[in-house]
Amino acid sequence: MKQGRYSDANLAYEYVAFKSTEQSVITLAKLGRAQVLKKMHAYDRGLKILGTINLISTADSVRPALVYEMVLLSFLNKDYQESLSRGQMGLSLISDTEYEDPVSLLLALAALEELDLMNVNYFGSRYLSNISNQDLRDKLQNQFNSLISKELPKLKDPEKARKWSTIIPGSGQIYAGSIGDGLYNFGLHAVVLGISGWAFLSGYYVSGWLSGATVLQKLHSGGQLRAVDMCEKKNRLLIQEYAQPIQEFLISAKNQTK
Amino acid sequence: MIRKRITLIYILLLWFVGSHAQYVQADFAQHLSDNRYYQEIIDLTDGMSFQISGAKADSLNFYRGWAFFNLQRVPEGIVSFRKIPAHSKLFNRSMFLSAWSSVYLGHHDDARHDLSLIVSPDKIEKELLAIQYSGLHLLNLKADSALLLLNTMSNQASVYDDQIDLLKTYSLETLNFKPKSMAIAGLLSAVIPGTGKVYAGEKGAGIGSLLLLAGMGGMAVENILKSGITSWNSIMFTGLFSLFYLGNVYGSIISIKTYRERFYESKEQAIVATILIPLRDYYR
Repeated sequence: MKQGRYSDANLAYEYVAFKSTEQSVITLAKLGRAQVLKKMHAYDRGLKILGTINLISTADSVRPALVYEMVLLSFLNKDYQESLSRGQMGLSLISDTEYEDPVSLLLALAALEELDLMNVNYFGSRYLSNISNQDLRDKLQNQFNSLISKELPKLKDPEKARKWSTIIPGSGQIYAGSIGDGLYNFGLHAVVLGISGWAFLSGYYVSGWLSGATVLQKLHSGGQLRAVDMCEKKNRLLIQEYAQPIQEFLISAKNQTK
Repeated sequence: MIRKRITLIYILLLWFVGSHAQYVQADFAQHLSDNRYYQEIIDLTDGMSFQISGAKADSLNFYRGWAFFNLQRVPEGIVSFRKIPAHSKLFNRSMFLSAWSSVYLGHHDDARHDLSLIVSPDKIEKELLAIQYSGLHLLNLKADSALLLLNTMSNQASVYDDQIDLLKTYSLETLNFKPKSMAIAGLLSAVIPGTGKVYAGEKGAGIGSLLLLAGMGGMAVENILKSGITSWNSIMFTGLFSLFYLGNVYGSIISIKTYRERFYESKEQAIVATILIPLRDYYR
């Protein structure tokens, strides 16, 4: 459906909500509008619309769809904490409905983004528990358990890297796992110090000290920033290496039942 | 065959018009505005001109302009506001908003033109007009004209005393502003590096320049004394010192220009924000 028609559909739903006096119709219209906004990638606007719906006073038949859209829109908006809290609040409403599986999967993936292993385990297991074939269910559950039982990666502390680089130039980069980068940085410092020292010993006290101090200061602060940057990069890589297999497993798990 | 095609096109046209036109109503546009669904107002009123006329069109054009205004798509807002005819109830409101939008874009003549079109203003609208005009005087650096107008307003009781007082403050600050001399800044930095920047209000930059040039001067002198004036290192350090010295003088002259621009820009932003407040308040 083209973008132009989505905006017409968006207006049409809002018009229905505007004209109607029946609460159930208004709720359905708002839900429809949120779904259209999702298609238009306007996730925060869709969430704003859903936020105006009172879940408690909504009909039982509509609540699971509402919970699903709230969880999905929060997830698409990359607000994983919000997705988790909305899902946890609406959990009882989606049990034994067609939305239980997709919501459980979304919540497991959201928890994985937050490295919240307890919730990854809970929602992932919940997602797998609806497989009717017992043997397959047990097999997938075992695979899932072995994936999440791996220890969380030991992340590097960027502040520690910065402090190491302050004391010994290049050591912060080595701490972050880039030995070559660290040795190169240390080497540069040594060269500049050497040149300044030679100038000083040759009697060029002002030139040696000033030029050496200026260049060293720039190198040193640059090295600290580089150490922090390398640390953060390393952490992103470690998290990705840990989370990706679990993510791929969960997304493809139900394909094995077909 | 041709008849069939024309019938098909007519049916498609009716369907398109019918599907969209039923929502294009002023009360629905107001509902969207009340809920701040501004993008939806724009979608609603896109391509409506061939279908609707009269008071309905005026309301829809106004809401369209209002939506653009709130989405900070100011030029498009001006286009919609100016479509409203003089006999409409929404005309004065539209002209005020169009004028402010022109002020925001820096088109002061357009703003004056829109304000001059306002028809039979009521008591509050007369105050709003005076506030907008005094803002325009200030933005054109005619602080004395602005102050004259504001003092006239102060003599009458006004709902917008806070904004009037603020504009008076800006007028006095503009009148008392001493722009400082670029020549003096340059001369000061030529004699003692960095003092020109201190004169321009940049103490830190001035001290930094002084220390840097002192250091560079020291290196140049040391190399001349140790290696002689014709050695490559003496020439290099002396050349660097000269370059930075000239840069320091030029930088001090430029810092006066920056000082003046910073003052006028900060006043401009404050004035534009101040004259908007009574408009938003009255036309809530």
